[in-house]
Amino acid sequence: MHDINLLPTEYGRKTHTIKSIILLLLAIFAFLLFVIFGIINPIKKRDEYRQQKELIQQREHSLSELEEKYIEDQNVLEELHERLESLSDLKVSTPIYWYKILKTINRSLPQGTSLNQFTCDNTTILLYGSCTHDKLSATYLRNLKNKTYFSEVRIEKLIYHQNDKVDFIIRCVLNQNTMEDDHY
Amino acid sequence: MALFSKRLLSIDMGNHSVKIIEAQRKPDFRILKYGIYPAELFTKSSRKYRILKGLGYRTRDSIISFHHHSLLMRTLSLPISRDVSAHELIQEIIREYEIDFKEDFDFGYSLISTHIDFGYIRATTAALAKRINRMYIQKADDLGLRLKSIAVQVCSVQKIVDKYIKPPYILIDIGHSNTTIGVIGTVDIMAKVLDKGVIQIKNDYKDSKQFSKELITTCHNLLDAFYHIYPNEAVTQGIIYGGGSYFLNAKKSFCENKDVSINWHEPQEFRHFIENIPEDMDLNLFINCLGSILKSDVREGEM
Repeated sequence: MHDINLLPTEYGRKTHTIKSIILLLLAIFAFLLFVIFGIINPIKKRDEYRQQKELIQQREHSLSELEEKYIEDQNVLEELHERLESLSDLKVSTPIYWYKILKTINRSLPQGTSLNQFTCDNTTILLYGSCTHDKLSATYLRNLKNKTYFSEVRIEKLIYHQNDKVDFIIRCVLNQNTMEDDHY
Repeated sequence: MALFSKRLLSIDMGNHSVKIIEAQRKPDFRILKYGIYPAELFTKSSRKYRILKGLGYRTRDSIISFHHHSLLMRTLSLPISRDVSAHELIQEIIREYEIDFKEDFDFGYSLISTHIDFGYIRATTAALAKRINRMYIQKADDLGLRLKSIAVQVCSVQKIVDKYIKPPYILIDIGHSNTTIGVIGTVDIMAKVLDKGVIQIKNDYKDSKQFSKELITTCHNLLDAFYHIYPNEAVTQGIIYGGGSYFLNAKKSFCENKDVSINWHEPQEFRHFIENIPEDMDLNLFINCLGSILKSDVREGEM
């Protein structure tokens, strides 16, 4: 078969060269895209992920350290609390404290008033007494209220007799704060 | 994308009409669009670059072909040389033609065979007046075409005819202003282009007679030359085509001529041998165009 081309070589070469350049540029562009998106970017991302992983691991480590410290502190706190409570109990049960209470109860008594009975249940104290006039029981109540040792003071019962004599029962609740203050 | 397009235009740039086929070659050869247009359409427009797009052709990659009486076809025997390439040897011979014809030529060639024992190679060469070739290249450039090849029409047609007829055979392409006569041998091609065509036939009866006579004479001369080189080959088949064959009723006039005893065919007879040819495509007119696009010298890399 006779395939003869009368197109002068310079024309063919010209178009071929332009096409070759375009193809070459496209190939370079494609290669660059491949290098950038196929190699460099994944490597960068891998490094970033590694760094992030290390950072997270470090944070995790510091967090666990913090947690340990927190638990440790919590334990110390609990221990201290327990010690405080034991100290508080120790304080509350001391004779000095009760001496002060009793002294207060006694000194608050106005003239013409007497205490007949005294009961104590946990933090509640019941005072059984009698007085020549009901006003004196009220005075005794006020005197007790003015003392900081009691958080609550109230007349539980009043029994009127002839010749204005009155029997009373006063309920006093011990002030916890005062108890703790006294500890320190 | 045009850069990777597998489409190709084949344009037969006639003086009277321009035949165009747009085809895809891969994966299967398929004609996508074709048409025949008056040559004036491509010469008078001020926006030539847009004409093909306007006609609906999508690719710019193209093969053009045309016939001109300045075409010289020779089969050359070249001495094998270590120092000088076949191309340089052919170039040297073309230079001699240029001196003889007082004309610069563009040329192409096809190596036929190598005979190392006898120390020569054979090549079919085609040379065309440079000014004519460059004029057509300029025309193609004006139309915005990307030229892949300038086909020699006789060689293009051979691609189709060889499927139907075994060489040797004779081809006669009667165009508007030029007529090509070629003898296709088993290895060689001999061709001559006359600067006469339909335009002479149209004028008057005398001219028509004269033209027929000249055609027959040229056929005889070519056949004589062929038989001189290949005395054992008998040319018994012939094909007449081209727009002029309708005007001249060439087949009939050649059949009546007892001096040229050849069995004449028309290209329409070959259509069954070519796949995917539109039914209404007149091969008589499109055979050059079709042959060019079926030629195998446009390599994939150039597409």
